[in-house]
Amino acid sequence: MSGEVLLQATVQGLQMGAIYALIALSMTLIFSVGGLLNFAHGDFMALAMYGALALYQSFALDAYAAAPLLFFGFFLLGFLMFRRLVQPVLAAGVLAGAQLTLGLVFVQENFLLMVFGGDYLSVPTVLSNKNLVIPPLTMPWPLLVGSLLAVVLAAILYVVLMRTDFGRQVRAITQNSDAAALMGIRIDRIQAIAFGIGIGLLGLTGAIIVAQFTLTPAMGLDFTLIALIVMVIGGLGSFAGSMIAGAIIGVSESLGSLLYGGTVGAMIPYAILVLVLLFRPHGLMGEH
Amino acid sequence: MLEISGLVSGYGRISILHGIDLRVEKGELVALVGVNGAGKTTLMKTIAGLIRSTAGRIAFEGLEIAGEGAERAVAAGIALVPEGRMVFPRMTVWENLMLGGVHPRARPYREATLERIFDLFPRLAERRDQKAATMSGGEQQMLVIGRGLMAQPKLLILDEPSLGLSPLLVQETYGALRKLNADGLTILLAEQNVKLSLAVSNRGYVIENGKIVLTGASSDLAHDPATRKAYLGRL
Repeated sequence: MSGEVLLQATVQGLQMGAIYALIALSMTLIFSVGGLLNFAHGDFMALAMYGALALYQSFALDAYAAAPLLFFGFFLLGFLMFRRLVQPVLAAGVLAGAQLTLGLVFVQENFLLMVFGGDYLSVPTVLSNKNLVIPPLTMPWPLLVGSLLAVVLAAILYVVLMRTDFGRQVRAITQNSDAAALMGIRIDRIQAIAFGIGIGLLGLTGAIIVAQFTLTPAMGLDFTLIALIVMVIGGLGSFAGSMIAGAIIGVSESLGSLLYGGTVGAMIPYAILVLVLLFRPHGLMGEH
Repeated sequence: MLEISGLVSGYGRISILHGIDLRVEKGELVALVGVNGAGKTTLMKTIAGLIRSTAGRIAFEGLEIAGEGAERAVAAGIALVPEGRMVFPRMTVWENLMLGGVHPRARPYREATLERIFDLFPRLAERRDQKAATMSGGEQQMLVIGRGLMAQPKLLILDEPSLGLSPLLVQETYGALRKLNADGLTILLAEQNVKLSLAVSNRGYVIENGKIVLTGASSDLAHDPATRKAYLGRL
């Protein structure tokens, strides 16, 4: 096997890794507000991808132009969902919350199946089927742009959480919610906004990577599992950890598929998860 | 400034406070003393809105705040420095202080208040970028007092600020409280350390099994045979 092919696969893996990291970060954000493990995470992104498809079919709106729209739409969806659904259910315990998100998996998948059918679909965009060639590399534009935007969005999220009053309030609630209440922080409202941003980011992510994927109603689960793995390997709540874990998973998946075929390649992230948990139970950069 | 009457409060269906009457006037330093489990923390938390009362009134500057929640208490001008410190452990000193003043009522004055707090506790200025969890108990106590002050309170409530501190740090903390009070801040102080808290305060209340059993000028209380027998005798 030539070095060029390996390089090509590594670059593609890194690009996928950036996207995985962003999905994992939005999952971490949602987890941090109420301890909710969102098993429907990937399904929200699938919903956004189908949303991009619908916007294209109805208004000939390009997915990249639809991205801000999907962000705000999904932010609102997340905000309302937290208030009306998640918060009351979480009051009954974290386990009930997990069951709720599992239920949402089926609701969303079947909703997509009902509306769009089970066929493989794709969304044409301005970048579809175009490649950037920098010998020896050939990079699909949708993946390149998607990964760069993912890095930018992750950086923005980092700055918002670490450097703004809003971000400090989110972290305060995670670290000690009673003390946060004593600061006069409106915990419900901050949580609903943070949850909205988490779901909104999925709307945005779905739009900016839709050109790279073939749509099927059940596609969300893969993303959920990868996001869970990246989140755990990186160490819960660690930005740097998630970025590194995303890169590790993306590259190993890509190289694994190239060298050993798709079946083995898809197993590699789970093998890495087991290994990391054996030696570093709190993840690569997790705090104890 | 603060007028509490017939206050009943507790956890779930279990009442801890059985009809508390307590008053704090503007500019006073009032001590609430009692043994562990007497209801001091429950009373402090109920005033701060962390626990909802089941009966009675809490009026702050004529405004009824009982059962309105913690945000309303902060908005009215009450800051609680809780027992056990409760810092935000994985945030820096500066971030903890910023959060203290995050309420819209306090936010415009944050920079100026921060300067004052760094003057009061120079140690906090030195440790500005250190994570709160890595600091000593005494430094954390300064931090939570500073964080409480960041909220621009009219009334500062402190729950057991001397708990777990060395005598020297207790002196330092109480020195700071005396100074704040001299500068016009109204303070309500809950303490197991009866001798010390009665020494710094104007008036005092003795709480026992969720009821106020004695009240008066602190100097009188300190010499009252009943207080001496119940509390001071053990010191």
